[in-house]
Amino acid sequence: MTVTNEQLRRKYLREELLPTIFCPGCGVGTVLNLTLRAIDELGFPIEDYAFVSGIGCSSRVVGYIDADTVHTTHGRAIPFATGIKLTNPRLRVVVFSGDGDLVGIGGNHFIHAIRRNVDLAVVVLNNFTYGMTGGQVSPTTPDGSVTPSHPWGNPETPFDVARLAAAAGAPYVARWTTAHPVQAKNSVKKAILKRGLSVVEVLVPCPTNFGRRNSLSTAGDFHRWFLEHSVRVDDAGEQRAPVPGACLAPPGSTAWPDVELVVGEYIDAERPTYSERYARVCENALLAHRRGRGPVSPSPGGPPANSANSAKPDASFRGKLAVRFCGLGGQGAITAAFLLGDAAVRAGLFAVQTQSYGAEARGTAATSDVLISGGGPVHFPAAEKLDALVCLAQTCYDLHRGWLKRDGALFYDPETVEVPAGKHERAFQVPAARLAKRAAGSPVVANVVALGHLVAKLGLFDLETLKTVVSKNVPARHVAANLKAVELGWNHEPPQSG
Amino acid sequence: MGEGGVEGERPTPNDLFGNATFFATGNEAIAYGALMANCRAFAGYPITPATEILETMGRYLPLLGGTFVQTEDEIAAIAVAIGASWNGVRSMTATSGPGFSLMQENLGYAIMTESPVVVVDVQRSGPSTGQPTKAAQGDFYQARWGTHGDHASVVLAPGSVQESFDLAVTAFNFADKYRTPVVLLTDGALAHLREPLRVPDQSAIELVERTPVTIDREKYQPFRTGYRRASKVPEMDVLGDQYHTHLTGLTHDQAAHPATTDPGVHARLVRRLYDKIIDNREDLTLYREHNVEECDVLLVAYGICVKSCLEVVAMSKAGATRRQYGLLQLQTLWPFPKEVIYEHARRVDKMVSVELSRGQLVHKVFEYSQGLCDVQVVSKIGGELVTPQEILRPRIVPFEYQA
Repeated sequence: MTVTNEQLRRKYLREELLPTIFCPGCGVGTVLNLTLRAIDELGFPIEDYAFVSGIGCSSRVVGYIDADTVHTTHGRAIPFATGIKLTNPRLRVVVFSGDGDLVGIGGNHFIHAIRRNVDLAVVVLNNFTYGMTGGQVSPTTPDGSVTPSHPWGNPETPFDVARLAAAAGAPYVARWTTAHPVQAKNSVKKAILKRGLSVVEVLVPCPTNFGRRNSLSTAGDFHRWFLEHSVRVDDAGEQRAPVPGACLAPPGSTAWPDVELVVGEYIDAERPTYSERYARVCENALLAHRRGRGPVSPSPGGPPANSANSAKPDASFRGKLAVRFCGLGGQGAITAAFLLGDAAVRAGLFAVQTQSYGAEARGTAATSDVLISGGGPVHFPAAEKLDALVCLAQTCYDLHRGWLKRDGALFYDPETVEVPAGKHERAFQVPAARLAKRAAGSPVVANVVALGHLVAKLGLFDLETLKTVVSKNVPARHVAANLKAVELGWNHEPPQSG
Repeated sequence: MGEGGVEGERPTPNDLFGNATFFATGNEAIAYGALMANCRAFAGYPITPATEILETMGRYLPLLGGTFVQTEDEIAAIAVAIGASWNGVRSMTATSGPGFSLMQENLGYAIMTESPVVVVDVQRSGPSTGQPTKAAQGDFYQARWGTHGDHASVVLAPGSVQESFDLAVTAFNFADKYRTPVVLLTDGALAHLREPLRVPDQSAIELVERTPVTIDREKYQPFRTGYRRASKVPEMDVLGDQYHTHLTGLTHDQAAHPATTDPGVHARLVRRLYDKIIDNREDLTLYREHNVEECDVLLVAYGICVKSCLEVVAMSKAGATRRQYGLLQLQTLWPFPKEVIYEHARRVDKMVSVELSRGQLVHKVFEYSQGLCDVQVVSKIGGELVTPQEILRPRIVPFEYQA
C-alpha cells in the first residue's frame, strides 16, 4: 500500500514549519517527497539517519525533516557529513545539495569524498541555476541560456554531474528528473543501502528563476521537456552527451533544449569505503604496536621523571651550555641535537632545542641549537655565543664559526671540513664520516659519531645514558649500527690541534 | 572505528604518554594533550609549521581507535571536526595562517551552532604565504575577529612546551563547558622547540564534560537554556538520539527554527552567544605573573615572547637591570583580560607589550590601561625572536603609528 502525502507529512516533517519556502512549480519538494518515500519503504527508524546539506534552495529541505538535520555552510555539506559518518558509522548519512553548492563552491569536497569513498548518499538537486540568489549562471547552466548574471549569453561550459561522479570513482551513480519520481526513489533507496559514496542526481524545475527566462515558464514546461528529451543511459550508447547540461547541449550549441537528457543508472559497483580501509589501518597499527614496532613505537620520550635508572649528570655541572649542530640537510644535525637534549633531560638536566632550516629538504644547511642547564630552566631559547659547535660540512664552519666563544669547543670532521691551524683554542677533530662507514657501512650515522665524541669530551653524562636514548629513538633495524657509531665517537682520541 | 580481530586490546593514551617525561616539541605537546583529554577525532591538512600535530595525531589515533582524516583542504578539516563533535566525540584540527584564513567560515558556523571544537593556529608570518618556517604573532586579531559578524571568541595561548600540553587540555574543557570553538594560538618557534614535557597520569588531569540533555523530548528545544541551571549554555544532544536537533548557521530561535527576519530573535541569540562567554570571563581568564609586585616596568606578552621576557625578569631579579621588570603573561587572549591589565596599570610606571607583530596586542593594553601608565611596544617582525637586549634597550616606536 503506497503511503499518501498526508501520511508522509505527519510521519516525517516538522509540520510547524510548513508551508515551505519553495516557489510554485519548484521541483525541490518533489525530491524531498521521493526521498521520504524511499526512507519509508526501507523501514529503518528515522533516528538512524542524519540529513546534511549546504546552502541554497535545495539545501533548505533538511530543515523540514523531523530528524537530526544539519544545515551547514555553502558547499561544505560533504565534509561535515564525513565527520559525522566516520565518527558514528551506525548513522545513515544523507546529503542534499544543489548544483552550485555541490559542484561549484563545493566541487573539491565532492570529488575527494568520492575518491575517499566515504559512505554517504548524496542527493543532488540540479536546477541548472543559483536559484536562491535570483538565477545566476551555475556550473550546470546549459549553454545558450539567458541569466541575470550573463544577460548577453552564457560563456561557461557546464559540468555533467553524474559523469563527473562516475569518473571520480563513485560506486553508485544515477541521474533522473522529477518526471521520473519512482525511478529516482528507487535510486535513493539503492544509494542509502550502498556502502560507499553514492550519487543520485535529480534534474528539477526552477520555473521562477531559471525557466521563465528560458522558455520553460511552468513546472509543466519542464516536465514536458524532461519526458520528451530524456534518453536512457543504456540506449544512449555513444551518443550520450559527455556532459548532460552538458546533459543538455554540447558547448557552442544554441540548439538547447532540443537535446538529449541522459538518465538512468550510470554506475552500480562495489569499492572499499574509507571506513573499511581505515579499520585495516587501525588494526595494522595495533599489531605493530604489540610487536613493539612500526611507526607508533618508540615514542619520542624519556623515562618517568622519578625513574630510578636516570643517569646522574656530571656533579660539577651547574651552569649553562649552548651547543650548535650544523650539517647539510639530510646529515642528521637536528637529530643529533635532539638526541643530546633528550639524553640531557633523561639525565635530569633542563634542555631546550631549537632548529632552523629552509624549504629545501636536502642540501642546504640545517642548524639546531641545544641549551642545557644544570641549574633550572633556560628561558630565552637562543644563545648569544656558543660553548660548542659541531660542523658536519664546510658550509657550517664558514657560516657559524663566528658564534663560537673564544674558549668554545669546535668539533669537526678533518676529512671534510678545513679549519685554519691555530684558529681555535679547543678544536676536536673526529673523522665522523669514516668512523660512520666503519660502524654502519655508510656515512649516514656520522652525526651520531660526532655526538658521541662531543658528550665524551664535554663530560655531560655517561655513555649508557646516551646509548639508551639512541636505541630508543632510532628504528629497530638501525639500532646496532647507531650504538656502534656512538661508541666509536665516544672512544675516538683525536690529535689536539690548535 | 577500527573494528577487527584485535579489538578490545587497544592501549589507552595513559599507556602511551601517562606519567612520563618527554623531550618534546610544542606541536607534539599539543597532540599529547589532546589525546590525554580524550580527543578522538582529528582532521587536518599539511601546513608548515603545524604539520607535526597532524602527523602525531595520525600516528596515534589509529592505534587508539579514533578517527583521523587528512582532508582535501582546511575548510573540510574544520567541517569534519565539527561533524565529529556532534557525535559527542572530542575533535580538533590544526593549521597555520593560510589555513586558518580558510577555516574562518566554519569557525563562525561552530560559534553559531554552539559546536565544541578545538582549532590550533600555529602562527607564521603573513600576510598570504609569508614566511612558512618562521614564527609570528600576527593572527592576534584574526583569532578574535577572523570570522564575520558579531561574536565572542575564546583564544588560549601557551608560553612553553609544558603549557602547550596543559592548555590543549583546557581548550577541550572550555569548548565542551561553553559549547564553543576554542582557538589554541601558538607560533612557529614554540611549535618546533623542544623542552622537557611532564605528562601526568590521566587520573590527575581534570576533564570537564559537556552538559548532556536532561529534559524530555517533548519539552526539549535545542537552543533553549536554563532547563536545569541558570546557564546560558544550552544542553547538547548528539546525532542519532531521540531529540531530532536541527543545526543551522542561519539565525534561529530556541527551537532551532530559522528566523532570519525577526530582529528580536537575532538580537537575543547573538546576545546570548556573547553572554555565555563574557559572563564567565573570570573562569576563562588565565594568566601568570612574574615579579609583578616589585617591578616598575611591566612586560605584557604571550606565546614565544614570554621566554624573552622571562629572561629579562630573571636578569632583573639578579640585579642586572637598571629598572625592575615584571611580566604579565597572558594565557587567555580572548576574552581579553581587561581587568588584569587595568589593575596593573594602576601600580606600574610603564607597560611594554612585547610581540612578534607590527603592534597588535599593544592596542588592547593601551585601551584597558586607561591612561594610568605609559604604554610602549617592542615589536619585531621577520621571524626572529625578540632578544632580552631588545627589550632592555628598545627602539621606541609610538604605537599609534603601528596601526
